[in-house]
Amino acid sequence: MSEPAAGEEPLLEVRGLRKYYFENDSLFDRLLRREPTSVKAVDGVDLEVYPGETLGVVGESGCGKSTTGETLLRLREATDGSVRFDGEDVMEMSGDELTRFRKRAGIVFQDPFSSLDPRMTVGDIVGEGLKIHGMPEESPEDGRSKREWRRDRARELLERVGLSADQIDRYPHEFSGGQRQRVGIARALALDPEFVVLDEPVSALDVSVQAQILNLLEDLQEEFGLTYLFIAHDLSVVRHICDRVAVMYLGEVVETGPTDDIFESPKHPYTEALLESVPRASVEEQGRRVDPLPGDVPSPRNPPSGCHFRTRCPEVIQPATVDIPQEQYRGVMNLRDRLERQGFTAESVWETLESEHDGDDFERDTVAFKEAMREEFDLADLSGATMDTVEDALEILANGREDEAAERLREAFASPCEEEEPVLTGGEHAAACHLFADEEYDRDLDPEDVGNAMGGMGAPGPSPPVDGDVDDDLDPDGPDGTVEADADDSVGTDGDR
Amino acid sequence: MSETTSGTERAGTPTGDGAPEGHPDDVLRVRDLSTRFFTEEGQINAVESLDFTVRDGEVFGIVGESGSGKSVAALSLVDLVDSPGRITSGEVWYRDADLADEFRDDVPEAVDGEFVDTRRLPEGVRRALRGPAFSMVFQDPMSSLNPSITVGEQIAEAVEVQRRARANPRRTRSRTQGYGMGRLIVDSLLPNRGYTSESSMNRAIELLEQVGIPDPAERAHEYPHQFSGGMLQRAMIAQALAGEPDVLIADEPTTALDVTIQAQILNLLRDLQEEQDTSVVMITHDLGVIARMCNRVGVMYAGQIVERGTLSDVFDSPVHPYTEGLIGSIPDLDDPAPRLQPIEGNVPSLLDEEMGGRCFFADRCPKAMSDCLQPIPEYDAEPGTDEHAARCVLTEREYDEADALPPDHFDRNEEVRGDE
Ligand code: SF4
Ligand code: SF4
Repeated sequence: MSEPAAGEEPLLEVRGLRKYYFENDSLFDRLLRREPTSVKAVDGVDLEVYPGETLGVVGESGCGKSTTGETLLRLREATDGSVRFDGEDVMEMSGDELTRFRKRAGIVFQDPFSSLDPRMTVGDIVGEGLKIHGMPEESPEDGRSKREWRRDRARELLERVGLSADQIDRYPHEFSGGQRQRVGIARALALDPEFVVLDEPVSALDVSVQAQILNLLEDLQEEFGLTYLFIAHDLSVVRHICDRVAVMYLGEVVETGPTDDIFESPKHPYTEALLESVPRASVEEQGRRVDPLPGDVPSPRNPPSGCHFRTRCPEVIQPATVDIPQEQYRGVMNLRDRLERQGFTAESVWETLESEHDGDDFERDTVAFKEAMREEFDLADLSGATMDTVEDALEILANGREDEAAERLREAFASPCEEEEPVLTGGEHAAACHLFADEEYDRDLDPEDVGNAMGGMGAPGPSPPVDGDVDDDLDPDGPDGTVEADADDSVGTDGDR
Repeated sequence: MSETTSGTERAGTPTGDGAPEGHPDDVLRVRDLSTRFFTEEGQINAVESLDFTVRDGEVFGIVGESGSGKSVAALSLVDLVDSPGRITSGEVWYRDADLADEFRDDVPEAVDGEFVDTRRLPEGVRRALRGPAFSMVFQDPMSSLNPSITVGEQIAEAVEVQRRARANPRRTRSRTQGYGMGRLIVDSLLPNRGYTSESSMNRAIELLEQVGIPDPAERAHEYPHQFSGGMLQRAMIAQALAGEPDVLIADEPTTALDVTIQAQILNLLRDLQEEQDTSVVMITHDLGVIARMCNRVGVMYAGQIVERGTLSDVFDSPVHPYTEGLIGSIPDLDDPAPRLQPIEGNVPSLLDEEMGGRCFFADRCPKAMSDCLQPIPEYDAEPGTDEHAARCVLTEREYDEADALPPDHFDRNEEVRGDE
């Protein structure tokens, strides 16, 4: 646990990392001339991890955090981007170089049940990496065989992670979840790595056991000077163990900074919403109502244009021509999103209205339709020109012309957030949100937040890690050779808790 | 239950005559409920002598880790324990004046005032209570939604069952079988029976709307796999609401969901509970969810409720070292405490032969003493209240190092277990 010293070189540096999967890309699909769709699991991620620190990567299912961890270790081939480890380009490595990298960078997986081979003893599991890497290189001088040396090393590691050396010949099923995770950690440590990706290492464990493992990970880090990339969805765990944090949403990092800054003065509206949502285990939590984000996370097959978060963002920016209460603007945007991206139809509204009349004759009347829409989308209190536009659009919609209604609303209400993709800005504590990038957009700030926001906008300090051209090299079809068929599985791995 | 003297052993859990005493607002009084599983490895005591009450319109929380028996406890309440499991003892007193009148003459031992012991009712009647009296929401939507039938149709079906039950209670009660797990089997044999009426379908759409599903009329025609996790959870809640239950039992209803979606579902449950005055039994491993939602809480360990009381009894003045350990294990979101205080060791196996006649937590308890090597009854933790109780000798006496068990006391017979 250490703060990166000024001017220190990162141990790991990730730039513009992308991992796309392609669906409908089998030979069969090509024969049928189906267009391949890309699933943008990781969509331009920049990270740096400094020696001895723990960088947390946090986000919800499908945000790409696990794929990021696996791709930067080259357990999956990246679609694009660069990864430098101790100054060397990981993507270019092959042969001995790659073998050396694999020794120096390990991984612990989430699921202690499926990640250990049930037919191997824990001694063999822990010692397997040693064997694969031909260790020890020379026969030990004390006359032990290489195999004995490896067994002794496995014993030592088992003891070190809090198991007993006597358990070396037992099988994974003889252990509890927490003990298996200790075996997984011992396996990752066998090759004396400097850097370990911890992919949700405590998510499958009960809290009392989780606390044991977190303490163990902290102790090991201190003892061996390890650098961690800690992937998690549990914000309390992240707060506890990480020095710095990167928050991901739909394949992108939306905010990054020192842990205390992120938790005490989050900038990005998504980070704020995440923190607000977590139920605290204390009496003050009783009856607390959070304003939840609307809807679900959009599919990474079709992420929203501009800011990926704009379909749910409570602070989505109004265009200069519009000035209405934020809640109603959000309502208009929700309606637009449903029309533009979710195949919303007027017919479904009619059907719902009909079902409410339960068997009585129901005359399709536009007044009732508009009324229902205003209620559902919080549009009741609009006035003036805005109201006229919305009324107009609802009228068009009631007549079944969805595209036209969407077009009408888009013309009047398009947000800067959908037109331009925000980039990480703000130096050490950076957020990818137009509210922090550009003085043009005001934010309704609490007085105490102003300092942070201003600091974020104009602060000198290390230059922002993104130079703003993240999108320029985006080749929608992806380079050859990176096509993979397992898109669903891979995207899904993030979500399994 | 009426014993109020500090340190007095509670009346224990004798199978008494009539309903246990309690609070006037109780809608459910559970006494001495035990469920066992008879497996090849031996008898597993999944739920051991549970006592608790649930009041009108409150959220009662049951919190525990895996293997604590909390889910089996939920299933036991609604009589959904499957073989090789069986409820081996206990009473589940449910307040329903009409039902009490109905059975006062036929089954007098099952009736006490407005309360009915559902365990003593005929099985058909007990099953028919699933829906209008008790409904259950699970963690995994696939345990109550059939993948091959549209969401709307499944909810409409639940509506029909209720309507038939209401139209002719006795007859339907005796006839309706297996509204629940059994239905899954029927459904897979007879898909698309399509005997739901238009009006039930309309009610289903209304329920979907009530639980916040957009475009309910359209979504009603979709299949479960077309729903996101959060939407499925809502659909399951709609299904559970079809019978307008008095008690909604939610078993880890948000565990599989992301935190922003969890917030939506918790708000929804809160709204339903407030608007319809439904009582909720919230079962979870998440102390944060408990804190946000619950009025009173029971902490389960090794099949027992080891401590119960109001939220602040349990969170701010816990007596049982397990409760303390659980709270000490959670990293605090608002304060990066330097070091967590985990509970050493692992949960016990619950195998009858390994349980022993002692405090089940003694092998992990930092304060275990020689007094703890006998079965521990539930004691009042605070004089003058009936709320705060714990199965721990520390309600009675101070910890005294002189009586402490030697650190290796449990190591002698236990090899792999307990070494964490
Ligand atoms: S860029 Fe716009 S939509 Fe995105 S987070 Fe910022 S305010 Fe919200
Ligand atoms: S009864 Fe004894 S062993 Fe059990 S929790 Fe209390 S102090 Fe610990």
